[in-house]
Amino acid sequence: MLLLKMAFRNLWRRKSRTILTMIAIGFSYGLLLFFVQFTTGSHEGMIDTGVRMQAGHVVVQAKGYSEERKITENISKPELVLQQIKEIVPDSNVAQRIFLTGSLSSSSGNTILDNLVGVKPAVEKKISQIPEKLIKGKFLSGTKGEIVIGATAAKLLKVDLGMKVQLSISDVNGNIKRSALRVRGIFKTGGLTVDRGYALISLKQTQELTKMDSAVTQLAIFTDLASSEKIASRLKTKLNTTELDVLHWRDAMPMLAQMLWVDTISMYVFLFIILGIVSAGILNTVLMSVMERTREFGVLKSIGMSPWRIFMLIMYEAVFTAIIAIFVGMILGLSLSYYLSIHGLDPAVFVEGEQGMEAAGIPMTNLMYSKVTLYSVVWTAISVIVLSVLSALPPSIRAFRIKPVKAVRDL
Amino acid sequence: MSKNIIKTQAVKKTFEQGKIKVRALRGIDMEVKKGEFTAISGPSGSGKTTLLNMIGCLDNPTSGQVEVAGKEVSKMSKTQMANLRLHKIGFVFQAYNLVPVLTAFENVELVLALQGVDKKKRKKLCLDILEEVGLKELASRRPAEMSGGQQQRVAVARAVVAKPALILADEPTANLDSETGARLLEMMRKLNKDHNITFLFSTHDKMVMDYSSRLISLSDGMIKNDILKQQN
Repeated sequence: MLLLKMAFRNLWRRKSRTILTMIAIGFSYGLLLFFVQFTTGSHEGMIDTGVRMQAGHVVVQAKGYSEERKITENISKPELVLQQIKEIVPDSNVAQRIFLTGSLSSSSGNTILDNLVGVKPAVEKKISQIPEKLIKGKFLSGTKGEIVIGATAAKLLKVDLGMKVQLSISDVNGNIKRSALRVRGIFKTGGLTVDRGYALISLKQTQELTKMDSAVTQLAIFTDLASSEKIASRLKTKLNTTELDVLHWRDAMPMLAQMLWVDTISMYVFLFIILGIVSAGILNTVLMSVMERTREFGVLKSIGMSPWRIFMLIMYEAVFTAIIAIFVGMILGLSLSYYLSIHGLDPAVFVEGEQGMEAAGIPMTNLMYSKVTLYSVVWTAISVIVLSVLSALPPSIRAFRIKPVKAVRDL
Repeated sequence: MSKNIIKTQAVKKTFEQGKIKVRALRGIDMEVKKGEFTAISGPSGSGKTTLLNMIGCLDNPTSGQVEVAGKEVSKMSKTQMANLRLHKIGFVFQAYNLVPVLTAFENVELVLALQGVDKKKRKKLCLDILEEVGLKELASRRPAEMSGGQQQRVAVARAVVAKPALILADEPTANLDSETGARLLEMMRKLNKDHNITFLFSTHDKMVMDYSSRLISLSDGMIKNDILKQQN
């Protein structure tokens, strides 16, 4: 107890130095905490946009569909599979979709559609972000002959609400099918390829045009991100996997998964640099403090304090410094993180002008939110404490080895 | 006959300073009995410091034997030496050397805490000894808030509180004016008599030599004189 008291009081012997060190460590910790929480939050945001537009948290599709994305590789009886899924994951939303490529033309121009998606409007409204991104008109009502297109496509086709466009797609036999559709809504996500090449029509009409009967190419399951992996493996064991593929969102959207992985790696590199600064700060302060007190340690050893106790004294000093700094940093990091978890950050601040932001085919124009979690607070704090212990090792060993006879020269 | 607290036999210590060998002690044989109040004097470089380091278990001799409180020191490990220092030896340094972040009370308490004495007992022992050295009222002061004489009295209280077999005092009066020095010596003499604690000083100070009951003079690493004076 007396040792702890000594360690704590020793911190304040060189007040300004200790406070400066604490500010440096606290600031680094705050930055680290904020960065971890912001990266986690923004990644979850991107995954959310991705799963809503292109996949689901878990995707069920016909075996072999991933390879060429041919509509002939489809789920012929989706209602049956849907029922099975609902039994396994009762509280999930499941969207039936058909993904196609095709083209749109008007009297004034034409454009390629990379993703023409046939959807059930009622289900899709609960899931998709497109209804929120409409700048004109409404989302699909379910009536035949409607299409929702992006703002860039509308501009290229020089069409507006209520105007007709001609859709060309291939059916399951490879024959070209054309259909005249009326523009019901125009959306703008900010993503260039999405606003140009993503369009939605009703599932029923897609099935009729492609002659797919009741088949779909994708059953997209929406649950929550945290349990998605477990659900994917449960579905893999329960569904008929000789005919069906069950994919976790990471496998369904490998480009996005890879991009997030690279981003996570760069986050760790950044953390490593920050922790390096913290480490240098602690090492410098503790080492200076040990060197200044050589004589004092000699006296303490002379009166019978064991080298281990001296070692622990230095360790306590380093840990106290880190703990106080962590509290200071926590206030800073959490305030910033909390603010951005409520208000979000517009990614437009990172980009100049009107250029669309996209990553792995997913628009990145939604506000980026930070995610405040106790877990991230705890693991970052523990990292800083462990690091401070490691950084204090060399000076503590130095103090451990001080020979009292040399330290107390004038005995 | 009183028991020996210190016994040295043919103690030699040679330091190597680069290529030069310095023979600090050239064969010291001496015995100090329990309850003695002995001063070691001698000019600078005569080996006083080195001899006290050997007796204080802070260093090992090159050859010869040192026995403190019945224990052979020369072959002890560092931990054993630290243990012997903690339980058997008290130190009073020239520059007081109190722990600056601890109060007078806590400085005294430190030794007892290291020995593992329980808190209640520690409190009683510390307050008693601080009263004995006349500093009970200053118990909550830190060293920086006390005069040199007061700090040295705390240092003596720290050395004495655990009732060690031996107290080694290095020039304890060197930084004090003569009146304060005399009061300190008076106090140490009283502790010596009341508690039968052995004191061994290294000193240049004539007053310390006058107070001591035995005076050992060193010269060139050897004992020149060993005078047992009339008990005061």
